[in-house]
Amino acid sequence: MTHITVNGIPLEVENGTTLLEAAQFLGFPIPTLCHMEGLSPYGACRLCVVEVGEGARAKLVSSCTYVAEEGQKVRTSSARVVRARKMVIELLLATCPQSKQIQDLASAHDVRQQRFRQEHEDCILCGRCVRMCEEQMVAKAIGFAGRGESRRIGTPFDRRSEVCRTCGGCMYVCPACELRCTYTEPDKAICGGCANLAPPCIEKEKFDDLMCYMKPCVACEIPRS
Amino acid sequence: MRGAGAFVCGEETALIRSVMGYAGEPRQRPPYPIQKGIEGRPTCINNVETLANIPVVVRNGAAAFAKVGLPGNTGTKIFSVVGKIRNTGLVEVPLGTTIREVVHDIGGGAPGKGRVKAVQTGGPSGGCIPASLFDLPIDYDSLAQAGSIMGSGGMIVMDDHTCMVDVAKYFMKFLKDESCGKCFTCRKGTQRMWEILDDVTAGRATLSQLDLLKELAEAVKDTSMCGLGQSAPNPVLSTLRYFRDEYEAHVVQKRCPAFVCDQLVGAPCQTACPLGTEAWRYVAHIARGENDLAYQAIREANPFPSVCARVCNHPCEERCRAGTTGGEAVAIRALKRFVTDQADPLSFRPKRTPTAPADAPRVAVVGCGPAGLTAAHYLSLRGYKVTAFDTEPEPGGMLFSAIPAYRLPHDVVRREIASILDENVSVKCDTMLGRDITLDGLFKEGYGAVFLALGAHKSLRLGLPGEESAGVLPSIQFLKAWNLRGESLARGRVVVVGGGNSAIDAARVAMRQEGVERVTLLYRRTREEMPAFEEEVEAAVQEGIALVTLTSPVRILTEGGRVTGVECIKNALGERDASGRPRPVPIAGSEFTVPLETLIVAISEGSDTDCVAVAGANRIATAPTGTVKIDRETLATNRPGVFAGGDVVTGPNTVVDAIAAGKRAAVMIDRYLRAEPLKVPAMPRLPEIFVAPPEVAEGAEIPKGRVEAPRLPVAARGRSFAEVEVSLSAEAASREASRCLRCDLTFTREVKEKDEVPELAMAGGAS
Ligand SMILES: Cc1cc2nc3c(=O)[nH]c(=O)nc-3n(C[C@H](O)[C@H](O)[C@H](O)COP(=O)(O)OP(=O)(O)OC[C@H]3O[C@@H](n4cnc5c(N)ncnc54)[C@H](O)[C@@H]3O)c2cc1C
Ligand code: SF4
Ligand code: SF4
Ligand code: FES
Repeated sequence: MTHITVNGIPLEVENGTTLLEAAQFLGFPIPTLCHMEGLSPYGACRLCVVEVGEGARAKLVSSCTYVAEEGQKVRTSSARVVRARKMVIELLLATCPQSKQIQDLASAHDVRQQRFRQEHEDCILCGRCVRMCEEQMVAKAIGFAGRGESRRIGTPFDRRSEVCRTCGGCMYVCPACELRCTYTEPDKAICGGCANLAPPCIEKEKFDDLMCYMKPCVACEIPRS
Repeated sequence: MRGAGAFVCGEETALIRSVMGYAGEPRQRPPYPIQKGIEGRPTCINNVETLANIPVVVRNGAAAFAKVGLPGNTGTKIFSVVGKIRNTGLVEVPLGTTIREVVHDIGGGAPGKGRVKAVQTGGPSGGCIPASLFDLPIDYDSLAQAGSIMGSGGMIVMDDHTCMVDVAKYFMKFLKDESCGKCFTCRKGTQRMWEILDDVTAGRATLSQLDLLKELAEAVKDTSMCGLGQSAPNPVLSTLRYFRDEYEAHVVQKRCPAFVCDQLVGAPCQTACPLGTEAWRYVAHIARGENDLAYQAIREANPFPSVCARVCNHPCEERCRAGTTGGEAVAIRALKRFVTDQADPLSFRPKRTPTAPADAPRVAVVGCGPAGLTAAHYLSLRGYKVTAFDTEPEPGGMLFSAIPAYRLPHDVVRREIASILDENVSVKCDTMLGRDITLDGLFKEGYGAVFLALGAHKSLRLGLPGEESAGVLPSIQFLKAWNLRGESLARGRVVVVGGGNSAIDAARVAMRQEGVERVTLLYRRTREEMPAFEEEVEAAVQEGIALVTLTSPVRILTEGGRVTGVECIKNALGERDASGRPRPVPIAGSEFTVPLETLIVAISEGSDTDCVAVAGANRIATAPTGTVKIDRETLATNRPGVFAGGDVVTGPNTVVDAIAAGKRAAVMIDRYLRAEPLKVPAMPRLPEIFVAPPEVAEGAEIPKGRVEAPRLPVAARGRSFAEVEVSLSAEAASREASRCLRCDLTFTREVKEKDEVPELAMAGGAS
């Protein structure tokens, strides 16, 4: 067993418990985005940071990936945490303002401005789809490619995947794509893909190598950059 | 196709993943590699430099190893020293060595006349440490405290030709490409930091964006998972911390002080000129043989072109890209001389743009040096009536009273002054502020505004006993006696103390006076540190003036109230001060005596502003040296309606800066009298007019090497005050002009030639 305190409250947890799980057990809310029950922790969105350690050694760590250490003192909403979290949300808004989840986060955390040049990206590279595909669907059809600005989700060599079963799980878990695949009828703007578990665009023979969430979607004609 | 990247694999968990065949991407630590590494097994990861220390520790024992370096930071560190430094290469120093030792003692300091202003340590994600912190011992903790890291042991040396914003942007570009992209804040944060930095370098950013940049940088540092993201903001945070003034220069003044950022620099010659003279434009016209158009381009920006063609310190040439990119700067001043020598100043009709209201009050200008006369000229063009006062019998300021005729003939000054005075300006000489007129009096008489351009005419004193004796002369007094009244005050053996322009001029004037046997110049540092223009020092040496450097006077020897000699002490160059110049340190026991008849003290000038620093509420605020305090942007003093500029504000400076102050004063006084806000947002001065490059025959050779202005042979100089520098030949001028790289074309190429060449505004002959 490991002994920690969260916001001053002592707690005994099983070895291997993450700080996120510990805080949630006590009912302290920590916003998450890339984290998902049932998928392994990844630590990409940095939204779930908490402060650990003291004095000059105090630092922020992502609670979803950090395993509790004996005697650790955790603060889930110190000024430093709140400041960082707000900046993460502001950056998210600047990148992907159309996502309902991100809009909700902004309003829940009182982020009312976005001071960067507005972008409209379809993906925040949280990697939920990748883990869904690998860990739950056991297909390993998609993964990350490239680095830095050119990092993206795709199939190997961007070719139509042979192991993809078009289950739509990736779209189902995506926090950014709720408005993405509207097929040809934007008024029925729920993700056609995960609703019927057979994304129509993936089926279309003539878009042989394309999957709508990986490339500009030619099928539904939503212009993307 | 771009891969997952090698840089991030400097992070141990990313390296492990890549060794295992996956894309390099860090993961949460703990577990550390030593607990769980490759294939989940304990793994030791260290860099080669660390591993190479192990045999030494094993062979000699830990105690012996720990003797090198500092407690807690033992051993040595290898740096790769590169950048603006004489000796580049790998150096290994014990930890705890100061940065100064590495940069100045081992590296030899900046090449040429550059000044080292910062080093960046630790590779791309290290921070920049300013020269003021060079006494910092190099160890892990000190570097971290200063906002940098030891990192990979890179040490990039930067001098005043390095733009710190550009540096931050350069590293951010690298980091945004090398971030693995896993952490949202590292990936997007580096992109957005780069975006803001790009805005700053292009002059698009606002001050609030600088605050956002800092906030973002701190968040990225705090929230990223691995060292790459945690240290990526270092270049931004450290430059913001130590060089915020450079950021603000870009944002507020739309200026890149190091002349690096293209969108703000435009053509470097134009931007370097305090008057914004389009040097590229007149050089282009000279290359095309259009000398009249060239004169017009010069005169539009500068009411004293013939004066500047002779005595300007030519900051344009300092920044000329032909010179800063490895070759030699275009001889812009000599080209200006070539053009102005052919033109009659009266032939130019300046554009009148009346803005003065009909009932505008008169404006008083006090001091008729270049600053005052320029202000009077431009105020007149705006429709104001101006009275210009001066204590001396003739207007011109230092141009007459100090700068000797062998550099600037009096008739050249007279002709140029005559051409800029008109019916709107009345000059009242022999009138001294404080004696004949007062500020209160001027306002009472109905003047609406006053421009103080009193110059800096008070020679500073050595502060040694005996300075009052006969034969000891302050340089300005000595020069004025000769220039204004033809009196030779020097005789016998003359010693001049100082290293600035007035010291050199005093020495060269003394050399030309009857009854002078020889002239010696004493300077406390070496020739390299002399503030005087290098070509003047060279001319002085050629004329036979003995240069004695590393020497300071300590005692004045007198006999019967007359100076007979000066006791001096030798100096060694000591530690560099914050400016990078070595301090002179006296060498005990090295005293020696120089016998002499005349001692000229030329160690700098102060301003005589007792006349405005009167008691009471209307006192004009001055600094302890006598210079008037102003708002740099508006030239306004603390008293409403009183403006000041030129040497009286800056201390001894240059003609071109004085003219620039006069131009600005005219604008500000006009705005003041029309009750408009004085502050206006700055704009970069980019080339606008297109001048087609001359047709060059195919295969024609581009001339190499700078043309130097011809000079009177030393033998012909003697005691003569004939001008030393003479004009270029037409052929030499066009050859030199064709060496211009035409930095303007990047900005004007798309402008149609026929639309943009302005009509010739020259009038034939005198008007
Ligand atoms: C020896 C020497 C050589 C130099 N060589 C160069 C050079 O080669 N290149 C260069 O760029 N610069 C040179 N300079 C510097 C340059 O001359 C000055 O920077 C420039 O003249 C300053 O212009 P100004 O209008 O501010 O002041 P000034 O030219 O000094 O004019 C001020 C005027 O105010 C008048 N005045 C002062 N007090 C009063 C008062 N109370 N009432 C009324 N009138 C008053 C003075 O009589 C004078 O006419 C040199 C300076 C010296 C001393
Ligand atoms: S596509 Fe969706 S789930 Fe996949 S990384 Fe992007 S935002 Fe996350
Ligand atoms: S649809 Fe394809 S890529 Fe998406 S989770 Fe299913 S198998 Fe994986
Ligand atoms: S939820 Fe923990 S980093 Fe995304």
